[in-house]
Amino acid sequence: MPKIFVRGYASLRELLGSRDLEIVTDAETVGLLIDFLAERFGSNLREMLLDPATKNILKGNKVLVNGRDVDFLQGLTTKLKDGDRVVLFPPSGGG
Amino acid sequence: MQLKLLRVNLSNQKIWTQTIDDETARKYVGGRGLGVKVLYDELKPGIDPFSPENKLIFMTGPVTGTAFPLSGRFHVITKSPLTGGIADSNCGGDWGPELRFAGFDGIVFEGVAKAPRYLWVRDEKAELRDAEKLWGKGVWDTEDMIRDELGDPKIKLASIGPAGERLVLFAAIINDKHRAAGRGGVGAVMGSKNLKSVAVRGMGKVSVADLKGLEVAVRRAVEKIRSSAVTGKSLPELGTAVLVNVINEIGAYPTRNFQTGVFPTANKTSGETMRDKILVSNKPCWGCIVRCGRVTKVKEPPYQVEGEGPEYETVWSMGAMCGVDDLNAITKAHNICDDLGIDPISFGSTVACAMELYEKGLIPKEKLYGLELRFGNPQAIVELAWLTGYRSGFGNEIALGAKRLADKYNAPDLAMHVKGMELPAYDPRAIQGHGLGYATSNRGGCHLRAYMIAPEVIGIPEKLDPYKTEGKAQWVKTFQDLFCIADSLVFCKFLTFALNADDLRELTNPITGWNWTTDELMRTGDRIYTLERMFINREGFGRKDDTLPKRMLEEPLPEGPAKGRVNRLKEMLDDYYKVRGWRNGKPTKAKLKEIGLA
Repeated sequence: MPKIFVRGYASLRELLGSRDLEIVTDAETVGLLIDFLAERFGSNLREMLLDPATKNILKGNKVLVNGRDVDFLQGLTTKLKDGDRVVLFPPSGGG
Repeated sequence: MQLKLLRVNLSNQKIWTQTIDDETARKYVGGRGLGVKVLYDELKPGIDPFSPENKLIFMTGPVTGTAFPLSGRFHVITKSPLTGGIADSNCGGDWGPELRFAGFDGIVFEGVAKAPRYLWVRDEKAELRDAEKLWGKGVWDTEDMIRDELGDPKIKLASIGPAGERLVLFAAIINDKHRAAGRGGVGAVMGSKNLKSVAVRGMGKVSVADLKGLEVAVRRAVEKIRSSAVTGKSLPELGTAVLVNVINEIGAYPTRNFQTGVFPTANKTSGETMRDKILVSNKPCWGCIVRCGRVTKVKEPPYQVEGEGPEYETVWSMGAMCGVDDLNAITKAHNICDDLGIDPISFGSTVACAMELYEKGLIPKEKLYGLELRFGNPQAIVELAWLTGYRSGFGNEIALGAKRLADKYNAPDLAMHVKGMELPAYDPRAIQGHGLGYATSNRGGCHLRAYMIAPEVIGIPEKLDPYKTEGKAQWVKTFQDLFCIADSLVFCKFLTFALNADDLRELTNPITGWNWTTDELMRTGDRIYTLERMFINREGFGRKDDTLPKRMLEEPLPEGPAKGRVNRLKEMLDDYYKVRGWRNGKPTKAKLKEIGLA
């Protein structure tokens, strides 16, 4: 089964920890991976990342696959393959 | 509304007041806008920034010190010794509102004092006082000594340290011990005038046109600020360094003098790690409910220090930019910069340039007196912060800034600057529109004229693809105009993570009574940005200076998600001039007429 690396930053560390997680999963898309993570780490993750009305990624959140924002790939239907790295950020700002 | 300026001639010690009429205030607002108007009208082109003819302007805005959220800020404007163009710098803390409580909206200094002086402003009165005993002291001692001398612990001070006194080209003005009017060498201009500090104390109130209307608008705004994930959660919890991991993960975190965009140990200097290891508490600027400031403490030797910060830019400039991942050393060096009065962005960028020059064998070892000037050495950044503040040893060369340093060693392409001012913490090869913002910034390498990170990385107000160039010109113009308004009314730009231009207009009108439409608000920003551009055009800047370092245009990023990319400025620049109504970097006559500058 494919191995995906997952990392969460800022407030998502509380759910996902402070290092890359090696996840073995047959989740084929980013959306299915989020479902898988929500089941394993708590449904808070789904609430933190997704808009309950549209089921899309909440404004200001960032989901990267190999460093590229999924909004510029295929969104939650972006396909994953063995060795991909998915990084999750809540909204951040600064100067 | 009328504005009241304090005018101080340091050469003959005359002090008088100047009233700015409502018509001028409507056109230029205050803060940065009014500052550039004064400079444009009163300075002859070509003057030496260190001459008595240069003017150093401290300016608040109509909303400073009112219930307008995040309004505890002020702006400093002068001709830059670093770039030869305009230097203007925005700053937080408590000093700005205190000046308004003292009955003045701004202070304009001209001339040069014959001996060190500080200005003491209290409740509509002002006097120049002897600063001989303060000259040579760091900012922190200066503040303590003046408060002692004047017998009031609540006095607010904006001062220079040894760096400003000794004309380090990127010396800063520091207020409230840890807030900086950092960029462009404003502190050096203050030092050239023998002006050590501006002490302010005010017991007055600031009046507004419609207090009830303001209360309603503020209540609405506060709800939005609290419920925004950036201003309501990530900034208060993790400070600005929350950005470290985001920018690094997209491969845009400039590392080792922009040689790459990925720093493998970036997390060691992130907002998350700061919170785990050195954070003591939050610190707000005056009246701020976001409270993004950090009070910090490093216990472990050899870098023990208690102070504030570092912020995102500092954690980068003395961190990844120099290949350093030691948070304790960065925090120590950052506090040295606060005390000695140094812009940490330009400092770190110049040290990184020096590190690359040294590693390429271009700086002779003897010049370093045993300093190990290699990427990744935390001791080097701490030592150089001291040396630069006092212009001692190799610090005397760092004090020139990256452009002059690289020119001196015949490697001009190794200085990462625009118009002579060093670039900040985002690689434009990975973020196209942000690169256009850098190139067209009137004050030089600056991320805050057009903070394109908001749409291109964070996704506020909407998400734009950072790899594309289409449409970015209009976005850059809109941000530049809006942030002129932020710097002229004077409020913190972080407000724009939660509020849009309509919200800002609703908050502004009850204060000024100007009844702006949103369109008028944005046109005023356009006018101010264009007047600034006219100032730098007059100093010789044009299309040739609206560019990026060669590395950004020609050397592809070697690794990371944006591997192989350069900044495609040529695809955006002409479009930008078109939306601005400029030709080759200069406003056309038609444009000037359109916005009331001709």
